[in-house]
Amino acid sequence: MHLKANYCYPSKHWKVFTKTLSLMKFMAIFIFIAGLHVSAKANTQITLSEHNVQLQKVFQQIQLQTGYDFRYNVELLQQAGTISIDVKNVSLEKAMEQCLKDKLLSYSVVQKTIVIKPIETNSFKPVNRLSLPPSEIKGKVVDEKGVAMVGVTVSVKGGKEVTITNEKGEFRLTNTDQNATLLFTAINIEPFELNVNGRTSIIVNVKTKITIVDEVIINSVNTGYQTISKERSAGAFAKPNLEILQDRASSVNILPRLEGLIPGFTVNFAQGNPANGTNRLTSGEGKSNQFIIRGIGSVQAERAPLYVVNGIILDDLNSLNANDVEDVTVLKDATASSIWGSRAANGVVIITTKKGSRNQKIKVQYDAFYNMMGVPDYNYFPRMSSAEFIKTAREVFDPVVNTWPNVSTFTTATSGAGLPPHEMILYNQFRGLISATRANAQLDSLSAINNNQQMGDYFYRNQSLLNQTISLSGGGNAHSFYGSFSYINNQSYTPGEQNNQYTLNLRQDFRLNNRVNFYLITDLSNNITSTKRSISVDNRFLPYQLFKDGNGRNTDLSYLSYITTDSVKNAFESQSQINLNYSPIDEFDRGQTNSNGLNARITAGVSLKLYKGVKFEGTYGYTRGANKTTNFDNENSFLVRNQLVQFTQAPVAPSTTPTYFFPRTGGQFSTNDLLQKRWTIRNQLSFDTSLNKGKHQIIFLLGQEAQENFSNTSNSITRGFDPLLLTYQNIDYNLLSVTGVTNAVAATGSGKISRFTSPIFSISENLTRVTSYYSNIGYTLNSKYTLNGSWRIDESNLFGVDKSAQKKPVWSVGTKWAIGNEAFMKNIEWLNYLALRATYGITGNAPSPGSATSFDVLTSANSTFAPGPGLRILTYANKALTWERTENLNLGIDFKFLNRRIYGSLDYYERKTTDLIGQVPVNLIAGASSIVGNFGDMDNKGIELSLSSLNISSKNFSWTTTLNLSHNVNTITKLRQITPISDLQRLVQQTKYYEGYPALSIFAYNWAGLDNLGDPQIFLPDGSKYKSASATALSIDGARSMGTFQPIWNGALLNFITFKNFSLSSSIIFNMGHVGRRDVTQELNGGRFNTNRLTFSQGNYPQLQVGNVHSDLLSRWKKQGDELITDVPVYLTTNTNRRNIAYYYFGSNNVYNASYAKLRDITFSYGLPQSVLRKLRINEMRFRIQSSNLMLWRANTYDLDPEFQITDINYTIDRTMPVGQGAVTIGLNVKF
Amino acid sequence: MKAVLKNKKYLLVVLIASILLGACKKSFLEVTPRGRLIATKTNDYNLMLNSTDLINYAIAPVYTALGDEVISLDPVFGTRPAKDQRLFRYEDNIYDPAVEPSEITTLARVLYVYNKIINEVMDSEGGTVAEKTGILAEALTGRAWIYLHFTNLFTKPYNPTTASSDLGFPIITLADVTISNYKRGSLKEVYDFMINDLTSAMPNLSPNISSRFRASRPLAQALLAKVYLAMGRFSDALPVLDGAINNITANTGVPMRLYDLNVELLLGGALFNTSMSVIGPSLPTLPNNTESLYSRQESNSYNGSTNNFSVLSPAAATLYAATDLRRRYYNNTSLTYPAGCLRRLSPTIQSAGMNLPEIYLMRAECRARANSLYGSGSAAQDLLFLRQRRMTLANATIPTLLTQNQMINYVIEERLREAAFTGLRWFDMRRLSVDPLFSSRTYTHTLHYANGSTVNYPLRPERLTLRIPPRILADNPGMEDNK
Repeated sequence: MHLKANYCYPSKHWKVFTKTLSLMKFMAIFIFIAGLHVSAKANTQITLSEHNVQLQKVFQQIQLQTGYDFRYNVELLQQAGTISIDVKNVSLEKAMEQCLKDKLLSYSVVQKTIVIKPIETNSFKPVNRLSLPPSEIKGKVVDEKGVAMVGVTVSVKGGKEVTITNEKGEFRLTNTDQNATLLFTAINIEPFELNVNGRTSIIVNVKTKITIVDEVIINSVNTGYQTISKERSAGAFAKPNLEILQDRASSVNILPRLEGLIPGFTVNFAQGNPANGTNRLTSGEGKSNQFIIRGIGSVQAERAPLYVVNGIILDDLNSLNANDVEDVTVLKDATASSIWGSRAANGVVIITTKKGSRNQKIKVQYDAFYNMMGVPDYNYFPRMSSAEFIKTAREVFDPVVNTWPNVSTFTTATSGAGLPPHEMILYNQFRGLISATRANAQLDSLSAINNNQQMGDYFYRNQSLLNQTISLSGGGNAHSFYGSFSYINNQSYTPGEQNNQYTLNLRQDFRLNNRVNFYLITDLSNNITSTKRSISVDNRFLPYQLFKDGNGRNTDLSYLSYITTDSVKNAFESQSQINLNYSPIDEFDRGQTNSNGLNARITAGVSLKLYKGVKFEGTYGYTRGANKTTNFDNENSFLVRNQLVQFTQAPVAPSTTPTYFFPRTGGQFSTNDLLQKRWTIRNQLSFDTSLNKGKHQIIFLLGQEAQENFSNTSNSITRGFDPLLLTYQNIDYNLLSVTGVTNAVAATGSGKISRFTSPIFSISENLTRVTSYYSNIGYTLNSKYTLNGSWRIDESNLFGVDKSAQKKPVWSVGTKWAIGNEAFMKNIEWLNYLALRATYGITGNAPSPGSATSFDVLTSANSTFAPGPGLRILTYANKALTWERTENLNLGIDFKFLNRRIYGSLDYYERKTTDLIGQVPVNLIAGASSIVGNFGDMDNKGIELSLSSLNISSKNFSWTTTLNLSHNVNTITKLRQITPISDLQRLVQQTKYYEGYPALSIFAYNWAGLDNLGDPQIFLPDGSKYKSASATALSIDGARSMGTFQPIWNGALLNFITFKNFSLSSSIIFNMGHVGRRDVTQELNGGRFNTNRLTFSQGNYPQLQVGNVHSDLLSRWKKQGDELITDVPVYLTTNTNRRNIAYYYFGSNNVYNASYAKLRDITFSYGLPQSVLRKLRINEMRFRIQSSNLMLWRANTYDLDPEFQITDINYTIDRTMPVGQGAVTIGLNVKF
Repeated sequence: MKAVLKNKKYLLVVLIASILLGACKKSFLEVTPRGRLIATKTNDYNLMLNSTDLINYAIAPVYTALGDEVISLDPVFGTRPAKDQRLFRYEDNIYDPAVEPSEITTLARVLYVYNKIINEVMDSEGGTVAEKTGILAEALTGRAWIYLHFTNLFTKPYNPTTASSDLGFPIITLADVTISNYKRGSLKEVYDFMINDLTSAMPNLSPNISSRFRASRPLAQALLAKVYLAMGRFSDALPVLDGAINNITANTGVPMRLYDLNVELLLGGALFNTSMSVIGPSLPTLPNNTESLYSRQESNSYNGSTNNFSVLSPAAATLYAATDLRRRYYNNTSLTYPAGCLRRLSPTIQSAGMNLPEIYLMRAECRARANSLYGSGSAAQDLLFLRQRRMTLANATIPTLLTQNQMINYVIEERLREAAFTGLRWFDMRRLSVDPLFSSRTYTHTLHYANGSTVNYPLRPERLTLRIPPRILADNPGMEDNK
């Protein structure tokens, strides 16, 4: 067990937010729009005329007319039977009274939700005084209010007789001593004892515990196309605990907040940044792995679920304000998701946003949180101290192999790197320029320096996230609205960066009459960011290199560029007459990047009731996002000076002036424009009816959908730009690119020729269109037996794909048996609900447009050498290409036990994917090394459990526990590789997918320790040890399969405790059963350590992340016998066939168990008591404080946090800097 | 009221129907994204020949590592990648099993483009027959050029007596990356394939050189001559080379001329730079390189001012007279051993493809082989034409009274002087091994240690042919490897 506490560093230099101006502008607009609707509220007017219908049906009517939501237990309503009602223009209270008058039900209004609860009216008759045989005792159990208590166990103390109270709270004991003591117990009451004292008829008053079970009953699911009662769908759905979701303040984006709340929904934080929920890897496996439902379903095609907001597909949920979210439903199996067609094979996340209720007074809510993440742990990397580093650098220093001319001569400005100070000293000593004593003294002084403090002071600050949302909702009879405005300040850990987001969301619902309803959602978000020119630096950089010297002057670090030595620098400076100093601190203010993104999402919908349950629904969405980024680096910036020097022709005679080919004044200015447009049109007809007094319930849906997705990006750059006059200077780009600058001072190419080849303008565009037809049918008999079916076909403009490959309909069938409703189950008192579900279906996954095609797709290839523009092959044809096809089987059971105190669901699923789309290696001499093609078959099998228990429930105290657990086993069942993997090296170092093994497998060399020369050895299949690096192929039998880097078990344990006005919740997430590769040293030869050559490009921070070496090197093999105590190979100057160091870092000894559990968050909240609230004239006020990301347990002994370990993405082995660990959030929520 | 409602309903049905039908119009899905296309027009194929993908290769470093003009120096040699060390030691197994041999993949990628053009251009739309056959001819020329490299590395040197039974290199004529069962066929088939491509291309190519980037008739002629040279068919090569040189002389397109080092190395010259003593002469960029007939380029790490692992052997260095200006491409500063070795400084990015000097030297050899040694239209004339641009007129003279064999040998030496460290030597070593005049020659690589000791790695005859990389063998089950 490895416990580690993480601390954050609160308040270092928190800054005041100065965005008031923009904030006020938005507030003004918001208040104006909201003000329009204040007058719209009116009295409730309900008109109902129904005869012998289920209560549920009537409630639906009321819901439609008032906008109030209902929460109830369906069985309860079914037990209540049918009603007849005929009212006209009555209030809600009146209507509800009418509905429930003969029923054993009561209701309460919580916000805009009507909660229906079972109530036994106090109308029981006075206890019957008729004489009975003395052995019989009759009684009734009631609570404090006289309400009958159902299901209370009545037992005789010391006796054998036991009974349970019936629906009216009555019980009867037939053979009991008249002096017996009766014991009353139930999960929702305090245990109670009572002496009979000769009575035969008694009324027992018991104290109840508060129960919240009924409040979390999910009674409907939203598939994005329709909302149906959960009881009538066989699909595998899941909803998160919204309270925890809303309280989680770790990210702007709602998706990372779902972690652990949905069984089967995996959030992979590895390689990512849990603090802001974004993934550093913007493409490839790292990105698409971040959110996964039910295991990896695809190799190359999209693995991420489909995200749908208010019926419209969205790619990016960052612009969605989490506070506006009303409901989240995750669709996991075929029945749930096949309605979404070819893009739904990985599951669907359906989000609906809040709306106003009809006939409701204006409500105002303010929510704010401030998440303090502190400074990231930039010392997390296992690197040496200055003293250790200097000592080791001396040990490996080899000036014979790395000769002075070799390391000091400038070659080109695009290769080579400068000499770091410690090497300069070593070479000076080697070349006899300084004495050994002097060298030692200089190195000793470097050993004593630690740049840690300066790194923190100049390049890091506290990271934080502030979110404030104010919302208004209300409505009248014909119109209701919900509007919110939020301001998010996302302060990164890099000084100079600003990131502010403003969102404005307004949903309006219009009711023309009983038949026609409209809604309109307008959602605007504006994201404004700016950055200065900082650097990315951490303790992987040279540990002794200060950024400011002892006199407070900024240190010149020009050796970090291609400028090898001071003499080279001096020569360049005198030839070009341009200063070439580089100091990251100086650079900070010499450039700026500004970005402004506006995202508008407009969704409109119409609902027309045509004829008896036949309804037309239209959904129309338009999303438009525009982002403009500008970069400006002024003439003093190293970027501009450096480029100028590279394109300066040295004077032939020293006295003459150089010739400049780039402007000497003015900076570099570039703009980047991004435009995204997406529209959706959906028309559907639905038919929903109930026949024969609810015996048959039928729902049928038929629809058509068309979508277009368009994006366009363009870049342009100009030089010699004056930001005040807005002028630029002309440059002869043709000369610079074709002939180049000969005799350039710091030439970019060989032969002292600098050629300029970067584009000065670029544009790219993407357009996809999809048209789809779909249908869905549901039938329920007697509220017990349900059948579902769905079908959909998508056609798209997939460019370059044969039409025949497109006609792939997806479909599903499902059935559900509410076995608990059967008569033979009715008598089981402890069972409240039980249903069995089974679904089967086919889902598809199309290759993303352009990634895989049946024809060769060409794109432009401009060469300054060619006589004109050119074309090159972008995607190679694969005529045999077909869609990925996934067969989904889901078996599920839903249950509620013991007075609904234990409830949950258990699902078993199988997903068999065939024709996986993946990067298939092809015959190298045929023209490509790999293409996107059908790669093989894969199986996912798994179990998902969601189990909740109300452990304690009393008036003032309750405790609920939820366990969400999922187990996923993935196997590649078939690999259709054109070229088989036949040798060990390729299997271990380049393979993640192999037949018979899980996807993302880790294979390792079978580590056999070091030999007596300190070389890594591996075991071959015959048991012999092997270490040579010769080019003979080794059998793949020598590999060890270590497991997969995708967690096999994951989930969360959630606890929720309330005590009076206090509540405490915690979520412990766990990921288990997977492995990872440990980052160990790979610098084991060369005679000098890797040096850092910075690349300067606009808008990107130079990365000072190389220089220092892995501290493992300290314990490397140095002398015979060391092989017994270390696994770190000997450091050699030269690289020979003698050994292969990949045997070490891809060895089985460096694969670790990546299982871990983290206390993702623990939240404590307090709500002001009613007495105080009344004085303050507010409805509710809650404070909360949350702490996140405390490591609880890890299976590895290396002190590694698996969330920050890069494992095998593109076969690199590394780690990333932890952020947001031990973050603290404070929050406030006020309702007026 | 009811009628109104009913009307409304009809309206609605019409509305819905029209929306449904409107969206399923075929044209809705038939949009071509901008920036991407599927080749259909003749000009699309024309533009494919302008692709940057066609110009960069990675073979020259392999050839250079194998050339006998190179020696290696310890200890820096030991820091070189394993593959480079293995090549230098003439080892049997060069390629790590998992490694994709970039020298083959770059060639294969280009071959795919040529094959695609060859198979499709004649059926393309919008071009005249002349335009189509012109594009086809360029692609055929390019394909032959690719196969020259394949054979130069992976097949035995061409011996007419055994060529029909020696293993060739798979003849790939389809642009289809899903084929995985290529077989090697015979060596003769491959050479016939190259000759056929070039001879059928020649009539349709422009005799004028309008762009170095694109194939021209003189290029096809020069390449055909090179194929004949590899086969030892010197008498067939000679008229083709005459044709090539005539076309070049008559050319009115881009300027084609040999650089006169007497002029160009001076201030203002095309090859001049201010650090010549350190980094060697510059090489103009490909479009401006007047010696280049076919713009293809190679980055070669065996050249360069900081390179001290592989240098020109003292034996090869003695071939340069002190007055030879090509000596300016070398220096020996900071090299302490062995005595007489030279470091090649430039160019680190070489002009591959086909260059003028090689054409003149090929003709010189063919003329010598035809026993035309001195005088007008002789080997000596071609040699002088070149040498006079490599040194002063006085020093450019060649020895008089050379025998035919001596003259041939002189040309071979001149080829090395002209093109050491470019990989051309490997081509010569291979073809001379089956040439009765030179077949007794043996080749050895020597690794020199600072203490003066050496290790020799002799080139065994079977290693004039590299083994097929394991990845290629794995990709093509049943493909035979070389001995």
